[in-house]
Amino acid sequence: MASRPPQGYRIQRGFNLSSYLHIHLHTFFASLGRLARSPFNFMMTVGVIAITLSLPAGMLVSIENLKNLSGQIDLKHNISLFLKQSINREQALKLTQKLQQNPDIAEATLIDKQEALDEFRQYSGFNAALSTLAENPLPHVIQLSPISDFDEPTALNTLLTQFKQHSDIDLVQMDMSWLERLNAILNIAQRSVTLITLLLGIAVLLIISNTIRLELQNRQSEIEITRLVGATQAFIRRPFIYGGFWYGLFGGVLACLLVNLSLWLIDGPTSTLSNLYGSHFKLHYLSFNSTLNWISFSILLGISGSWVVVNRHLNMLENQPS
Amino acid sequence: MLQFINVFKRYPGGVDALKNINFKLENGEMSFLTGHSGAGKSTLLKLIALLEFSTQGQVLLDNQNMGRISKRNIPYMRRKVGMIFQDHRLLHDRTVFDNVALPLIIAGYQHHDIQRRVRAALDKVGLLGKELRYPISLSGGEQQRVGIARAVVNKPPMILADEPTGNLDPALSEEIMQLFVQFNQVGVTVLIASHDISLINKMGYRSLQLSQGELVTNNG
Repeated sequence: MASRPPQGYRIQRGFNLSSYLHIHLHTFFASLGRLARSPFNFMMTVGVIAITLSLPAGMLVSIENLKNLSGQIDLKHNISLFLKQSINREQALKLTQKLQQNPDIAEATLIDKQEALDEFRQYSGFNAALSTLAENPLPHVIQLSPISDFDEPTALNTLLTQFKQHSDIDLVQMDMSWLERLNAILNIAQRSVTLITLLLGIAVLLIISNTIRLELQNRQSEIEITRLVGATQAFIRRPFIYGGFWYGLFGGVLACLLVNLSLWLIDGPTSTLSNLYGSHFKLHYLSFNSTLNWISFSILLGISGSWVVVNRHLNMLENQPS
Repeated sequence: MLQFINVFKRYPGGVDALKNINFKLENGEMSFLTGHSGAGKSTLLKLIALLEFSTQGQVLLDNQNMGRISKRNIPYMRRKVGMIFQDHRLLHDRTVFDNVALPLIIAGYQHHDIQRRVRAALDKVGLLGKELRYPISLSGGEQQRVGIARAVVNKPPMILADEPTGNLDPALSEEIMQLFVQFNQVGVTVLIASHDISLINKMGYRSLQLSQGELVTNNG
């Protein structure tokens, strides 16, 4: 005890960076140590957080993969114009040349009806049957693809309408429309997963809040005693905020591991399947950036979840006598 | 100097814990606060340690009004007053060392400083060598000494003790009281609430007697 006389009651509140950092560093590791002392409880909460987050993360990466798969198929729109039977070869050639000059069209080729019939004969095996026909039943066909940046549906639609109204054209067919539909479905799915992410994010927030709330209850006497010996609200809050941080960090890391583990499990069968189709499709794992994003998201949820509960609790304590 | 001026404390429900308390305690003075259970001793100490606030009147510490201390400053003011409780209020999942170090950790002392000061405080109360024990493995008297070491470790100018010998036998009680005398000798203001009249009379310090919330005797 003191040999030097005690100082007075004036409050000195100097800010000392080194002691501030010291307290933070101490709490940072102390909070981790506390969690490590009850590993079962800790891992249980982390497991719940990880599984909850792995659902939207897994769905998003699956959608990415499907988009990637559909992207590998040439997404150039191929439009086939079936001309009327009455149109002869000269007229068809003229129309083809006209289409080639259209700035919206990258390529237009005429498939002559005689050529088409020959080809059909050769490959279909209906040679004998076809020879009995009096005349060629096939029309002239113009195959064209719009310019590559011609991806706006409305502009494409005007072009299609023009073709449909053209007097020489019998039928307009878009070959790739199923792919478009798939993409549209994938877009809807992606939007839905964003919503699911939001909901499950709230779930994680509630899980962490509840865990921290229980811990606040368990450490009630400790909180009271530290208040008695002069702890500030920030000092009392800190270990719980770090607790939330650790739950978020471990939950996020485990969620990413779970997603990659699941992808790894279906990687084998997927490549077998794609080999059967002669495709070079390769399953993509969580990218470095999305891993980082998911972990940050999880940490953010951890910190904000504990922040809300701890502040509520401290305000309650402040308004009730010790 | 500690000064109470016309202090009233009424708890919700209309219970008057303190009625018109007036007294002064000079810096470096040692004094006892006596009275039956429920006379208002604990409440009076809590007003000084900012654990409660008066409903009327002023509690002044070196002319600072305790009722006017801002919420932000309350923790810093509490560090100026070492408080000792009858039930020790120790953290049972922490070692003796960690319990005593708590006020220093809160105040942001450096590691080597903490080591030194905790040892000094434990040495003072005769518990050096028991730093790594847990409170549960100590006797009641030893636990109280840990509580005292924690109250004095950051060298506050004032120590408040609420029935510090309440659960101890007479010999141990006297030892504990001697500790307070030693702190007082180096200039610490000491105010001890106790109902151990025989011990208090033997020690011969000033005593303030409370009865049903009123200060009935104030002799020194």
